[in-house]
Amino acid sequence: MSQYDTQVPEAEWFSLVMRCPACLSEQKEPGPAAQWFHASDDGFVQVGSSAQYRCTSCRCVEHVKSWRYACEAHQTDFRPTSSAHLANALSTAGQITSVAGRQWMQRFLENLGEW
Amino acid sequence: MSDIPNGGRRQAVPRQTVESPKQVTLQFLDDTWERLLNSLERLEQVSEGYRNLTATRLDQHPDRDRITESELDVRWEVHLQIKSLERIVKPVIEDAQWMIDDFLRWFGGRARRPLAVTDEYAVPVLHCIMDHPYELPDLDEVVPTETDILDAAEALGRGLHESDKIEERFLADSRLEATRHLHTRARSRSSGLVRLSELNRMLAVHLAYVIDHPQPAKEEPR
Repeated sequence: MSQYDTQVPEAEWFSLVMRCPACLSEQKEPGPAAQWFHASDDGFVQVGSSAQYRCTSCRCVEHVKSWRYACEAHQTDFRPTSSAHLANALSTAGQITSVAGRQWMQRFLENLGEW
Repeated sequence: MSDIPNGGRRQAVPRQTVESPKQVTLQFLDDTWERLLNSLERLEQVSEGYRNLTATRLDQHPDRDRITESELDVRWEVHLQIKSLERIVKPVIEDAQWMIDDFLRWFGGRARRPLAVTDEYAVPVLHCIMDHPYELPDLDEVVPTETDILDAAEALGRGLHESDKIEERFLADSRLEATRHLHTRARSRSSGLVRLSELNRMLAVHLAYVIDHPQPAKEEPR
């Protein structure tokens, strides 16, 4: 469910600048880290310490669990991500991220509640 | 608010897909189980210098050949792997009982070793795969920087796409069945039960009873 950024005032937000995760998952050259945009309105995407994404154009805030990434090299799709699907992704990501990243991931797993 | 909460680099339009079958969740279960045991084997190496590897199938750690992470780093991964497994076990708990047997045969590989930090996780892991409440030890926290969060977001995005590919394999072939990889380090589960009894006697007695009185398996809906 979406919400607007006024409802998460405690979050710290950073511009989402990273390589293409879809290319990385396919062992393709991901190119340099670059700013990501919201597919529906081309707004700049930010990532929060609360494990949410925020669009600077429409101001919508979403949990990271349902997001996928489409760079110039390919198309992707929107997935109704299940709890198990997200958990498998976190388990995979946990091997290649820093200790602080692992903490961030664990915190938002806990914040998901009974979802 | 958008119906398609996706990121893009302009002109790349997402499309929606169908829900996944149970076999996908069972594959996530086998894979996450592998990564959890892998993290415990890494913990054995950094905390005890003990190397008895059975769970390297999915190891993508950049330092897999020569571990450079600290004990705290590895323990945070163990916690994340247990929390992740908890989410996957819940909807398929009736199909997860084989992991109890596998864990006891893995844990039996620690027989005759002095009790160490890895042993602290035996009870939480077993309770997790039995879908029982469990507690993890407290760990010192690290304040994430912007770089940490961006790296983690990239890694998570990659993990989501890798999970999508697993799902697509099963959607493309309805006959495909999830794997069950075993991690045997002891000839029988009894050495694992004996070691477990040093940590939690009641749980060891309970598991010995459950193993001797298995529940009939139910047919798996596909």
